[in-house]
Amino acid sequence: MFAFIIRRTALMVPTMLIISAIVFVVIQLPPGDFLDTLASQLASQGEGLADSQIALLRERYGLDQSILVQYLKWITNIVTALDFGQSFEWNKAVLDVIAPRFWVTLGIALLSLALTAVVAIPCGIYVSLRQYSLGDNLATFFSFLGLAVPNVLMTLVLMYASFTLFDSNPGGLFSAQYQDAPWSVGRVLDLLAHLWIPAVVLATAGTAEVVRVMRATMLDELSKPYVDTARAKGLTEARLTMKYPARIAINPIVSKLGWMIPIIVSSEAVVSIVADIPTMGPLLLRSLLAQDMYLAGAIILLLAFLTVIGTLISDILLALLDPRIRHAME
Amino acid sequence: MGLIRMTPSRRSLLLGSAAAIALLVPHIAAAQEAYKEAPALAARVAKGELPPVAKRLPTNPQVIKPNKEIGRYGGTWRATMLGASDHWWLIKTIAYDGLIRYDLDTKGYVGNLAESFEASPDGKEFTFKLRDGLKWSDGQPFTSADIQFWFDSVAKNSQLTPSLPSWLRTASGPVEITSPDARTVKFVFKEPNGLFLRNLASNSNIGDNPPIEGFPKHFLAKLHADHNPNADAEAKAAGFSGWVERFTTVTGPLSRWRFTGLPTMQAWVLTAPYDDKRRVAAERNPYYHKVDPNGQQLPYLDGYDFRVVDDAEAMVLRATAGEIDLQDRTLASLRNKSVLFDNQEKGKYHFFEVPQPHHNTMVLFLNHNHANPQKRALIQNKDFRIALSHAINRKEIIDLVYYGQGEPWQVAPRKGSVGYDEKVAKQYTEYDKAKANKILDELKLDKRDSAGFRIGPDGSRLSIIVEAPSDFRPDWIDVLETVKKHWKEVGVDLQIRPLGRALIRNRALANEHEAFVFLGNGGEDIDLVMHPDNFLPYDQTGYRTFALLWSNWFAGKQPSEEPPENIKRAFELYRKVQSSPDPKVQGEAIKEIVKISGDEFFNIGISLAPPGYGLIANSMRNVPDSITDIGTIPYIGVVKPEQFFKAQ
Amino acid sequence: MSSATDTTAAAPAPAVPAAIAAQESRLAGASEWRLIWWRFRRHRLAFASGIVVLAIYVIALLADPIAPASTEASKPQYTYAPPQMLHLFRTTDDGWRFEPHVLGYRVQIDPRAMRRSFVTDPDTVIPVGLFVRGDRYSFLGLFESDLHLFGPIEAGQPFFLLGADRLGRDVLSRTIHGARVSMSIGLVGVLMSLAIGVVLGGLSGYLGGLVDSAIQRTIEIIRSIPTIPLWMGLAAAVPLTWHPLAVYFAVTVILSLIGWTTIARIVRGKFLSLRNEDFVVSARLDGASQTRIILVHMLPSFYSYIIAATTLAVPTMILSETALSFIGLGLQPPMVSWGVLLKEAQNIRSLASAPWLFAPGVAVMIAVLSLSFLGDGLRDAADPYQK
Repeated sequence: MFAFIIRRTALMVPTMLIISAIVFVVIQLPPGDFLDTLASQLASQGEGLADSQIALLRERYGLDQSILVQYLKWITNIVTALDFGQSFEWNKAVLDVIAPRFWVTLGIALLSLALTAVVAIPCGIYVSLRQYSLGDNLATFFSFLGLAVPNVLMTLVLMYASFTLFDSNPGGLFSAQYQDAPWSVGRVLDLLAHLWIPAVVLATAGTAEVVRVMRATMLDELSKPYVDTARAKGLTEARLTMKYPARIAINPIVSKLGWMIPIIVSSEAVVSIVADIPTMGPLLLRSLLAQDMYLAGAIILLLAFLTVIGTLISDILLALLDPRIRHAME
Repeated sequence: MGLIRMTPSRRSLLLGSAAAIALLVPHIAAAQEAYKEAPALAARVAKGELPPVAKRLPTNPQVIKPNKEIGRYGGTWRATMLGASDHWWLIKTIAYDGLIRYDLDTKGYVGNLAESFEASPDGKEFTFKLRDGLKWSDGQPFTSADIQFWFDSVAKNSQLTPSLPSWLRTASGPVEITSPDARTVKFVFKEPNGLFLRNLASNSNIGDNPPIEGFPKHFLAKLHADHNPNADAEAKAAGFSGWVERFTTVTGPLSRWRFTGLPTMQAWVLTAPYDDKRRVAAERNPYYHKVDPNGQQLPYLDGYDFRVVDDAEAMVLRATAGEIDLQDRTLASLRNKSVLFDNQEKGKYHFFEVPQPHHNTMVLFLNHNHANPQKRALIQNKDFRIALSHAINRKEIIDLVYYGQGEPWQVAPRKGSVGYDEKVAKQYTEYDKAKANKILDELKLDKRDSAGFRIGPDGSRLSIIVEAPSDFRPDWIDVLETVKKHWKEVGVDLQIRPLGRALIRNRALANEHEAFVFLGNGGEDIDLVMHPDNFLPYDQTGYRTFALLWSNWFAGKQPSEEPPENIKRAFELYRKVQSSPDPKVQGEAIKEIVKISGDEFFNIGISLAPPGYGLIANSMRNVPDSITDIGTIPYIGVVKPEQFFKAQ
Repeated sequence: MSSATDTTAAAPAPAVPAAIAAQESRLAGASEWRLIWWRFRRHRLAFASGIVVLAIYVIALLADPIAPASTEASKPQYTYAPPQMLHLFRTTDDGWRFEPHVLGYRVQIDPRAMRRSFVTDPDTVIPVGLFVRGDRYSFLGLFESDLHLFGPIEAGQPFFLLGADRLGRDVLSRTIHGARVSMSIGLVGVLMSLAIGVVLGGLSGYLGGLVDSAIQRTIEIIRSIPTIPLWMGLAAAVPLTWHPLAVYFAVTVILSLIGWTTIARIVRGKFLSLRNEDFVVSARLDGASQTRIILVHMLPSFYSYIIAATTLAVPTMILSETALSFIGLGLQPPMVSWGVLLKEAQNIRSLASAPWLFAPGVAVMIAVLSLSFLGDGLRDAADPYQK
């Protein structure tokens, strides 16, 4: 087991290097660079930057070099000095721009993951035990409804409803009076009052899938002979379910956990734009549109890193949960 | 006022606004005895943190006549900004405090930091006399040395300024600036510069790049290698690549909004920068050089607090929740009007009118230098363009997209402009399918394919690919969809390509496009004289570049192509506008440019742009009921935000 | 349906004499697909959903004749007109009679609020009929017609069963047309993902070793890159001169090249746990070829998973189109898809005063729900251990 973990961890290094190269190529794919974007913004307002000024900036940012040279510089700085470069648009070190938003993103992601797990896993077990009952159909219907309503739409509806019904403006991270206040109970509550909408929206979208997968695996497991044997031996239905089928049915969910982070962040981008929450999502979108490439590259790389770690953890967990997989891997 | 009154017979004459001086004189004596200040500043004076108000003000402070009533101190101006690059909201509102400014009452230019200014009759020399005792927001004196510092150490430094902006140069070279004494600054050009004062008081100066009045020498010299031998080492120690990078971090095109601590001459001093903290805020400048007629130091408002949001819908929610005091940008769209209208009571606001100086809701720019020779010949054919214009049912577009506001209009200045010409404005605007069909048939475009579209000269379907910004004006896509329907009826296939603005621009500058749509600017004189780019093909910005090769020919760039005689004549006239110091000569030249553009009929207009609107809190006072959105000038800055105040 | 035709129709099944009609033998003799079908029919919700899905695809295919108007037909005087009620009977002085109709509007322009206000006008009766003449269209490029399944008998009359949008276009017609793009693109993308996913996932799980490692690393790398930047980069690489639909289709294909990873992971996981099951081991000892073991013995034992994953993937594709349209990627107007229509509706103004613009959202919900229930029913039906 220990050797397995070591080997998987060592494999992460080449994986991350390949990812970094792909990321760098992809963020460079759209025609033009940040200075083109900047120049076009300026030009649309009348007076623009002179060509020579742009050339100077391009040289200063190193944008006049070949993509290979740019990549090598970038990756060397990251590996040797943990320096992700400057954000052109914010005129700041990339890490300084990302840091405050990283925690908000992580908070929302964990909140919605927890919500999903708390609702979906029991729900999945229940519907598999009561296949085709009214409860099954209702639970299925509502979990799919969550999936079926587009995230943006749900966010808008929730925000508008909370505005018209409760007269509160949930946009932003804090209300005006808590914006610059020191941390207090009131400020935490205020934060939660602003975070519930994105968390709920993201959780409802994930719930359906988890319930589905859970139900499907449970049904497979429940129809296996060992369950009949266990039942014949007089195990109570609850114990029987919890002891084996439920444990096995959690496997696919566990293997999903690592992958849910980039999915949540990708969908979170859209939700946070509408709900006006300062997370990494809108920052990523913004930096991609403005071709602020080091910022975009760093965010994507960070997300990729989280995913690789997540996959590693879920692989280890899977191996712990299911000896068959463990043996296959070793 | 200003240039308009200039008589060549006198050697030089005072150009400062008579109105401003008239206001100023009777108050000097009274005011000096009893200048008043905001309570917060008075408290700081009492604590000894600030000198008394009379010491902070210049000896002859600028007296601002309020728009409606004398105000009271207090309150914050709340508004919202969209995303990371919305700094133009700041430029257009709170940053209009240069040497001179545009005066709405006199439609001329008046002194601001300059007490008076004069131009030589030949239009080559401009002299500014600064107010006595002006101070930066940190209390240091503002003198001619600050502008001289900008010129000698910033403008002339090729690392900081690779090339001087075009408005500060004439044909044979850049401006030369001298300061004979601490209060006098002199700008000397090698040739007449007819647009210098207009540019100085416009976005050319107070735009993306910091204005030439925005370089406090006492603060910046220590960052500059010419003035501080250790500047480079210090910059490197602070984590910069060198002094140049550090210097531009403070004064670069966008960075002045991202950096707090730079002394300013504006009414409010930045406290929360336009950063990723989602809020731009400022507090009053204790040394601001203006007072009201009662001797109260301006500004009335304590500061501003602009929230940065990522989505325009969040603005609507904030507005209806009563969290916006004055704003039109982004929020006040056609689409949002009815929601905002219904929530006036709840949000405690009402509307002000924002008349548009544009002549058109949308202009369809066809590429006269199309890369494909067959398409180019077709587009250069005036009859073809006339047919396309007649095929558009403008009345329907006005009803559909603009709620019945506006009238059919071509690329032509508005009524009241020096360049107004009814024939140019109205030609080919009537909806006449039969006529369009007849012209197109006569152009040998009479064969049609199975779907009823005409066959073009290259043997394939006659289509026009129009690029429209996907990130700017959603109404344009609506207009184009309607035009698409109209053109289909005469067998022309309009294909809409929604693209990002940056991409459209790049393609235009690479001459890769077929057609695009953009604003119809230059409807009124203030805009028209400076930027007649809708009327002749000289534009280099990529937004109205409808004949790149001809524009390059004019600018002496490559690749280029010699334009037809008529266009050469227009270029000649435009040079006259640029060089003549005489507004009358400029006006005559503009008139002829418009006439040529009417004869040529380069591009297709839709309708006269209806007025926009803005949102104003019921408690916000001294804001005019109508603020014209003059594109080239910070139009909210022009109505003097320093005298806005909030009723209790 | 008689059991005789049933069994003979099932080609690969061992032929059973029609005479033996006892229930037991019927079950034993029926092909696997036949069994699935019987079980599927018992699952009412899934069966109904299947019909709905089928109906949506038929409507999508026949959008031109079914929709009462074309996507572009705009009536300037009816911007944001609210939905009309369809009345079946008309009351006149001599009693009532069957005459389907809608009522016209009285329209007032309010230039200060920049909107039109509508009041139903009981005096303007607009008769509605089946197979009426309306906007011309070219049906899939095959033939031209102006016949529409239903609509106002007199062409050009306002007919907005689901209201009108900001340009006075019929929301119902646009929703029907939008189905064509949204439903087909979801399907194509998923089928491609499925094919790649099953093959690579199968190879990875069955062969193990180096192949497994290589495929797993590839999946890991692809999955670690958030989709939004990938979309943006690829969308920018597609030539502009293409027709917008071709652009979107190209990007969908590219996206499905990424989407296969989910299915591959599931397939691999199953292969890993099945590899040493008795029936696989015995097949291998029996000398069966690898291909045969994979296709005949292993794959059928988890059809259910693949079907569950696939049916969930179609709606995911539909939903990602919505999300991408929102941030300005994916399809753009004048293309009509549910995502594009929803983007146009997704603002406070529509929520507050024109909620009918969210009809495409309801269409998305119906499509997603019915596809999901259908997949669910298929999964249950395909389960060989089902009691």
